[in-house]
Amino acid sequence: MKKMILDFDSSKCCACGACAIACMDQNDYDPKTGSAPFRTIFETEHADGRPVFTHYSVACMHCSPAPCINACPVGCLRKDPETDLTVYDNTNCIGCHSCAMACPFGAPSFNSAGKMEKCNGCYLRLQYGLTPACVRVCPTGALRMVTEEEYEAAHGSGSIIPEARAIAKDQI
Amino acid sequence: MATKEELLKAKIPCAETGIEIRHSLCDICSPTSHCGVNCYVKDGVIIKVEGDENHPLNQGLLCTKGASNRQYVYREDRIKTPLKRTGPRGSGQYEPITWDEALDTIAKKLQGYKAQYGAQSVFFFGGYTKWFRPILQRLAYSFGTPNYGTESSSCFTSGLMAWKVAAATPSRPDMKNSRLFLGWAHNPYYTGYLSARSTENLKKKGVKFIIVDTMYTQTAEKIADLFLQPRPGTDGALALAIANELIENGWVDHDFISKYVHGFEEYAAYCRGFNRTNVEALTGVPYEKVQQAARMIHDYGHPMSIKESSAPLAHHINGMQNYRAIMSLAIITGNYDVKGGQIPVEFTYTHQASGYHTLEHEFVKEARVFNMPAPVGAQRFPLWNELEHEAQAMDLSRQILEGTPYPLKALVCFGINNRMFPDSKRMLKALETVDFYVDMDLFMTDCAKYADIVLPACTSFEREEFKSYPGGWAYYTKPVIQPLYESRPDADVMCELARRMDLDDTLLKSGYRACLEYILSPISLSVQTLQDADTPLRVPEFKPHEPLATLRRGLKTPTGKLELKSELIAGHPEWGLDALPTYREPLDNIDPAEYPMTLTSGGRLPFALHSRLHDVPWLRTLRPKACVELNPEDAQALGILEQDTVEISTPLGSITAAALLSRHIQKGLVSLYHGYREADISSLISADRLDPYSGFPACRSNRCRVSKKG
Amino acid sequence: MATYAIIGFGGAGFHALSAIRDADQTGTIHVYSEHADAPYNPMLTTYYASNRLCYEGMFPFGDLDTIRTAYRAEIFSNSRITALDADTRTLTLEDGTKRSYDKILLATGARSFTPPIPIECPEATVSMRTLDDARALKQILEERDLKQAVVIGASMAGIKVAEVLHNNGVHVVLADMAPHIFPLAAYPETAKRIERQLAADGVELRFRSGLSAVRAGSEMAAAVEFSDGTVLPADLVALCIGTRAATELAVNAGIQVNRGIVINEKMETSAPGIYAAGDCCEGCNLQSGQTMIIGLWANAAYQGHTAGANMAGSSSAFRGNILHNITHFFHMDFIGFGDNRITGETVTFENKEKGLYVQAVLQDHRLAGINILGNYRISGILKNHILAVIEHGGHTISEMQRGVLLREGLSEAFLRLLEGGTYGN
Repeated sequence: MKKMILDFDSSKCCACGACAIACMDQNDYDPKTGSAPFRTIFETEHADGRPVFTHYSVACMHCSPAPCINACPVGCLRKDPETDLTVYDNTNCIGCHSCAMACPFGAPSFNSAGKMEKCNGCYLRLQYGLTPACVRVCPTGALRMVTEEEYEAAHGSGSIIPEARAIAKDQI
Repeated sequence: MATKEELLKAKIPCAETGIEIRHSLCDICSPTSHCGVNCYVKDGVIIKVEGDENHPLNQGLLCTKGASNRQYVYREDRIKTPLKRTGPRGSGQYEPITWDEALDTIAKKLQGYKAQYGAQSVFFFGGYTKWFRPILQRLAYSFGTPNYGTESSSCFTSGLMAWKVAAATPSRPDMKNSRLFLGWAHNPYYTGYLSARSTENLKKKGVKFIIVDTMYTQTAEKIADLFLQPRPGTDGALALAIANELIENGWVDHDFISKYVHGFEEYAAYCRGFNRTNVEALTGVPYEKVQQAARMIHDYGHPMSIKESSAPLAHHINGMQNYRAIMSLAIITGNYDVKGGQIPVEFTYTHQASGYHTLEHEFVKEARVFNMPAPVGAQRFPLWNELEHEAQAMDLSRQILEGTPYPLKALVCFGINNRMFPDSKRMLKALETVDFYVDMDLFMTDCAKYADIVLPACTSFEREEFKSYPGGWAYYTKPVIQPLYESRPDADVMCELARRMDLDDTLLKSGYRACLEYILSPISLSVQTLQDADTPLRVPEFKPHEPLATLRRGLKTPTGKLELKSELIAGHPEWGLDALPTYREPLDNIDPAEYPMTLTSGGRLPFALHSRLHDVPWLRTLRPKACVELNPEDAQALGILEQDTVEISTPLGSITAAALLSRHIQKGLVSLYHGYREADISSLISADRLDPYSGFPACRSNRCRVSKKG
Repeated sequence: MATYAIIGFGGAGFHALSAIRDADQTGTIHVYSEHADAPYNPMLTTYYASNRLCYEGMFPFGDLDTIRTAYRAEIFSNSRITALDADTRTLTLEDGTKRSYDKILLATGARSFTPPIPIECPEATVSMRTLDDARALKQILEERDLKQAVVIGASMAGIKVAEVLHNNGVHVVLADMAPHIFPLAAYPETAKRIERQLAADGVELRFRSGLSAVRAGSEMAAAVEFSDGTVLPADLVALCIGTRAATELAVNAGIQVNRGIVINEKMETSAPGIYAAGDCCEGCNLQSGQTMIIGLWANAAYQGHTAGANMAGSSSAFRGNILHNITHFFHMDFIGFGDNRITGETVTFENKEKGLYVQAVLQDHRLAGINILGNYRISGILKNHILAVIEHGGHTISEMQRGVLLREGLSEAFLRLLEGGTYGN
């Protein structure tokens, strides 16, 4: 499999939150634990004569390289060699939150056992020919999972990947 | 290679995990949707849902609400067994009883009231969604009561009545063939995601859009070529002004009008009262925008279709007339019964126009007893009573409390929520007062806690049901999982009650499936064939729309024409209603100094559907608090910051909610979503401010005061 | 064919090994370690001691055999290097063996500092840096019935030891010469909040308390004497006073050393061909522009990787870092960014509902430091922001980050303050 990009185009998003809910369903998210969901959905507005609204669904950006990987003292995080998605095995997670301090997007979350969880790009679903839960549900086509070549060949004007890459570039 | 444990965690449907995909439909929101759902099932438990990619409607997608189905189905407050009340009404104190005891008690009680007070003393109420409606209506009629009422007393019907007045038949916009779409309160991004997608596609194809909304919605921002933002409830004045502009410029279809339209001259004369001198004052919309709208309709509006919206336009004291005024724009421009315009339709089943005929109406009508007393609401809402064969439930609490024109003794409800009714506290008082109250529901709602007997209903995933979709599709589902706990399908309970009361109705007593076999007898697909398919099938009897066929045949209105002036209404001066789509101010004379702002509720959110999803924890994460939306300038003037606790008051009382400052909201407007336990906007809305035409409550235009709390 | 030597096998040493092997498939790599364990993070010791992490979990890169095979390295365990001759490129081992190298990395790490005071009962004293320290504490917790413990040093290590003891039912006295907790990271006001919470949890706190001796006790195993004359009985004394970079080899080889071995952004020391990485060295503190030890696991990874790549002939640079800390303890999160000695305008934000408190210091409207209490999630975004402010001057938080910050309970107004560098300009 090729290096994959979980692309998000804010110009196509309406912040309906379907992706967030599908993600919760896929990952058995339990709000009672107080842990944060993997996706954050929001709308920003600016008054520039007439108001301008922008809509976001933000989760792990699967940075390459990913600062969280170096930050983890127990080696929970790694790049999936098939897809280059940032995946994890939290068996040994000690809940030190170091990955969270490394992440410029606020992606890592911690479950009731104090163990890190985050978007893993549904990389196993990809291997089985399925799309990530968020992509599958997205009613407006704002989220998509594409190979890096496909991404570089064409992406929407509202793709947040270029900005995310710029943000992550200097993160240490 | 992934381990089995990893595959299970990733919920991969394969032989190794034993996870199976089964098909059903989502019945959380409006029956116009009811998207196909793939349920991932493991050991009889749904572990994940996603859209059914083979379903003709949603083609694999789901909305925010639909994506939450698993948590909705497994909500902790599902009612698990039949319950008998042991404490005071509202206390929530119950003890479990058997189905036999519950059903026998209900049957005996109902027969007792029938014997002592007449069958009309028993009211059968149907909530959301509509899947069991014909069964319940037939049960009511076979029992002998006219009092079958539904949540459609405050949703959908007002628009339907407007079309019945004008054309004696419902209509739908043929949006995909339009050149211009007039989206009046049309924000599919928050209501119907499938329509958002099709709207975007049409925009790309060059279709022009006029969007009219009290809120500056995503549709207004992304789609509109022209956006008009009237104050709530002033839509009628705006539509009449646009009509006037069209008429004065000679931009109406005189040929069409002369052939097919009745009352044009009187209508045109009435429209003249809405012009450059008063429109901005009446609606807040500058007259230039009215002119631009008329110009666009002239330039692009052949064909033009108009959004059919069930609630936002209707929830005002002038709602139905406003709706008529808007739809008249299609009539005077010749956009009725033409490709790309408003198309007359016949409902196939539960208000869905699917292009094929079933015996739904016969099934209901044949059980109707002649010479029944008038149903609830008939006296107050004579037009409703004339057009709709059901009670206007907005008058229910009054009749229970006042006992006039006749006493109501028993309520048998399949999903009722006092927060659906204006003055929700008064509705609770009525439920406290009525002799006998049964509620069948999924969840132990605050309203269910008043019932003497509570019955556990199951969701769409736990039952089989028939569903028709536009384009000739028919679907008969299989249960995806067994009913949870002791829950049952509502329709089964209705049929069982018919049996236990031994009503003279063999068909009803033979069960839901037999009823559907009868209803679907005109189509060549049997219930068994449909169910075996496990996916919607195209009905061979599907007939697409034939342009102008309906008009040429003649409409079933008194004049046989499209009536701008209703001869039905004109024939009943005693009703005190106007035959023309006249306009009146939406706000009443409550002191505007004390209540300077306009309160609106019901504006949709993508993660809520009335009250039913407020207790779904996943969805609550998207907006944890009940939020009152305010324009930032108003908020600043009131000293209110984002997330401040704010008090909203009307003459009926006060509630508090968290402030959400947003330029989606126009100045002077205060918007609060409905159905919140902790911020029940229905408790602020008068039960007496009802639209005299439709009986609909004025949820979307009330005077209020807003202040920062604490 | 080149021969590489890596002295010390912690995080920096491992990442150097990995980078060398990436760039040079054929060279010989010698790794010398003073112990027999695979690389691990010293921060994990308290987790292991308290059974919150299994033994295998200590080693994120696997055991030595796995590493040896994967990177084709010769790993010499329990091998202390006694001398380094930079001119002849020769190493001398403790047993006198000499080995030559072409490129060498000093990744000798740091050791816990034991103060020069009388310690009469070493059996009742622990420090917390190495796996051996962890084993010792683990055994003590399993075998002894501790009633009271004194933890010296209210630092990131001290608080974790205090937490482990507290969770084992031990009454803990946490003492430090400093006036408040986390003296190297927290602002006094933030520290006060932490202290209040710790006190509420039952931890006894003593600040401005210098340790003068650990005597053999009568009541308990130890009697801890403070400079003000106070004596506290203790079943266990944990010395978490701090660490010192292991620099002897470099000093003796004539390499420039301050508190740590001084390096540039290529991880080169003052001696050609000799590199240093990790807790033994001083890289650039981006905030001051001076070199400084910034002992962080991730920092060691970046430094080790950079050193290894450069040793193997690639050109790699790591610009430096800022002081930052995160510690999760007693259900609290404390995060600090920037040098807490920098003073200026203090701005604070509290969201009681979310249990979030943020304190920031602005110098000439430019963000110079942040303390966060009660929310890990915003930490990475705010670090990203302060890094940008420090490195590039003004910086506006992007919308995609801003939305997350607001969702977590920060306010627009406070974010604008944190953006002070650009706001209003």
